Amino acid sequence: MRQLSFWRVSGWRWLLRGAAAAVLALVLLPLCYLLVRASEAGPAALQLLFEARTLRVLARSVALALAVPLLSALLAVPLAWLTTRTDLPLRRMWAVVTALPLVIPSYIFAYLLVSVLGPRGLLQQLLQPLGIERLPDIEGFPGALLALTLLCYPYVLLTVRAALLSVDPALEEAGRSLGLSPWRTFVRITLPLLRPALAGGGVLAALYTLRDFGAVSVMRYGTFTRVIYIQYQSAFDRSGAAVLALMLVALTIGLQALELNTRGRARYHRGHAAAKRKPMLVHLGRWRWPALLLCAAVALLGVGMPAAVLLFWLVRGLTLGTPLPALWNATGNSVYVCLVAAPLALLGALPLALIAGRQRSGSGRLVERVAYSAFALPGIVVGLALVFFGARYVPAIYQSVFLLQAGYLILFVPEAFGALRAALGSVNPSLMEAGRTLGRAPAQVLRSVTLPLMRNGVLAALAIVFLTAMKELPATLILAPPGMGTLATSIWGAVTQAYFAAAALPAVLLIGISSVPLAIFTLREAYQ
Amino acid sequence: MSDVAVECRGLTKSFDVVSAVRNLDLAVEQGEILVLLGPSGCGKTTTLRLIAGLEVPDAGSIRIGNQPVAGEGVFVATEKRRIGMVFQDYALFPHLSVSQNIAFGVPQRASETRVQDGLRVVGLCGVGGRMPHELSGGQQQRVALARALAPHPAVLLLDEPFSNLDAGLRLQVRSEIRDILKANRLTAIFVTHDQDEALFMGDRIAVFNAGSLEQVGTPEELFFAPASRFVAEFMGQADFIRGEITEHGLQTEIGPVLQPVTLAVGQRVEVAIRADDVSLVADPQSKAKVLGRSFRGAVNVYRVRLPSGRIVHSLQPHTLKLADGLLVRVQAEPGHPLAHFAI
Repeated sequence: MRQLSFWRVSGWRWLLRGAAAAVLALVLLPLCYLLVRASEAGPAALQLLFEARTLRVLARSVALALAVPLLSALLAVPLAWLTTRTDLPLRRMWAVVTALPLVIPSYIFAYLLVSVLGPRGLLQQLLQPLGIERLPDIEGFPGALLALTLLCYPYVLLTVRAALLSVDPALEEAGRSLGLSPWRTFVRITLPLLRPALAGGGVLAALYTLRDFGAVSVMRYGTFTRVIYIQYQSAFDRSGAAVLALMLVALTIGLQALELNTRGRARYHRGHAAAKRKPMLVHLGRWRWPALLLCAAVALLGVGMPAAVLLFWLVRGLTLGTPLPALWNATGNSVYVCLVAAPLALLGALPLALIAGRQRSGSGRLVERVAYSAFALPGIVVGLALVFFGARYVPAIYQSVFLLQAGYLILFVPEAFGALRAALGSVNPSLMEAGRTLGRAPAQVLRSVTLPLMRNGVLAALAIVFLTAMKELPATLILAPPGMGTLATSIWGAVTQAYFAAAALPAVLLIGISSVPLAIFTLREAYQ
Repeated sequence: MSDVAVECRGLTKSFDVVSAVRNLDLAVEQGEILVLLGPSGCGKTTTLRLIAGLEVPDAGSIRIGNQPVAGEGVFVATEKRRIGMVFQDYALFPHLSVSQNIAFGVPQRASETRVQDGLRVVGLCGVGGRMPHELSGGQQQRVALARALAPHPAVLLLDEPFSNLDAGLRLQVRSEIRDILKANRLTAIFVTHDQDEALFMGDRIAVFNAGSLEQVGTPEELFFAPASRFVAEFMGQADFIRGEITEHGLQTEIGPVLQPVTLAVGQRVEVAIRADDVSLVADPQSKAKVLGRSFRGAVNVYRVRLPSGRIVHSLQPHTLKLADGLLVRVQAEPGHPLAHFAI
């Protein structure tokens, strides 16, 4: 009897551990396989590491990953301050609008940017009557910087806004009472309190930049992701791509480790979350006009311009006539693949989140570290590794939709983990213990207490994974079975042939459909 | 049937390298309220969680009733231990109504009557349909108690259950809860860091210090015969003065105290003395000086510096007024033996 209950408890624990180990093994598979692949190349791989060509790729990637977060912070801090701490007109609207670029995939945004600002783009056509025959080239570093900054600044904006909202107003009031001017209070008190948020948001932006494939490819700027893809497509020696992919992963995982460390220190400003009192709003006076101009300019470039241009191409595409059946087919494929991927990623992430929730245990901390680090795996790397691995060891699923689903699982388990972990973290652990003391076994407590309380977090995780999976491009390009087009790959196909009008309708569909679950979730939460 | 409800033997638990509980022996009688008392971080909550099965002991054993639940190669899961627990933050399920919370640990067929009984016992009839956040702190506290009692546990564990209530409410709720526990002859283990609460709630009190037991005894024993200086200090309001064992008993720096002594003659000691044991008489020849007075309504408490530099407090009727700086003769008139410790 006693022995039985003992085994029942550990049975559950082992089930959880087994599931978590299986998921982690799958997530780490690409990395391990790339190591094997690169080591097969032997000394040639080492040589490649120090070739001038490789170093140039490294330099370009690092330059972009430094410039984008810096420029994003310069945009985000004033926007965050204006929308939380001042009497800026239409404050709430600006807060929503400036966060919108998050839903736009980078390849769509970059293509819209090129189609407007390119040497013979829409802007040039507008300026033609003035005798301007050609605009300066935006491809390369400036174009990539502009596109990625406009796509990334919302990450910094959201973290800084959250930090500003959670700073205890009493700290700033204390600064004023000690004789500091409002400006010096901001510099000496508020800004240092924002440092963890700035670091966190900045690392997110840098990670996005390093992982991004779409924008740098459209802008023809040879960072790791673009060069890896070109090598994969053209070269017979694939270990070169493997070595580059490993270098990229080393960069992103290093960055992610940095972010985890800033997150640890970031706690001190959340400690003041209990302060419900709202800070006094700064009266902008005449300064509200330049402030409004800044918000409008960012909104115009990040949201207004892409929307208008997309509409323009959409109308032109429809009047020219688009092959609709292929499009419906692609839409169906996208929705189907993502509807499978989202719950699958959630299921995979659940055991990890449950184990990581036991912070006291060493295994909990380890799982948390690994899962967060896996977030740094770029889609191109996962795609490349799986395609090598599948071709060599599991020909049965090579070029099948299962390989694509495996890729999505690897890419999105860390994302689902993040959302679930946050949801689990907000459930008071003594509630689970109370369930146990009232005679329920761990699995029953999970079903009757933990999961119901995590429901919002679970729904949010589903919505976020669905959105990200719809937008995903590089892994889909490599892993989707031949003949199975998705919205992302159809847009990509049209864009690479500079057939902008044909890309517009799938782009509208992609943004629309992928945002539906998130919009429903957000509205539901606002309603509650 | 043994009369022991819970028994811990050699219980040991460390977190990382910090040892939280060291080689602890403890027994709770059937129908008794045992209070685990000590400063924060002394291991009392860990002991409670070990008994609940929420932590696994590194060594030692635990029995609940006649059943071994931990140690000796056995580990019975929390849900099989027949314990009820009241958490510091109540841990009411926010997604369930009050009734559903109380019924949570009860088999379906019995739940209706148990919920009604539970609500009646804690005096909350009619709020069963509400959600936890719609209740006041005191009501939530009582729902948490009703929920823990509903499955008829063998022993009730309470982890600082009153620490989230404000002072006035705390006094009221603690006497209500003590009445409920006593009326139902429940066995309970109660964790607190508040000595006043411990004296009020406990049939017996176990004083913890740094992971081990200092003393277990009735409130009176602990208050009047503390086994160590730590206990005397923790039970409150004691001053310590110097003394020595002589052939006639205890000689202190404020005069002799007639009482039986066990230590050897010549042993130097520290004597615990409380404000109500100390009398003051104005005496210009004395070297003890009044430092200040704090007015407590019916009484005055004087702070006096002895020639040795030690400070003692003295409780005096509010009719006696002694000016600051006045020289006074200090005498011990306890009317009971004074606790003293070898140094």
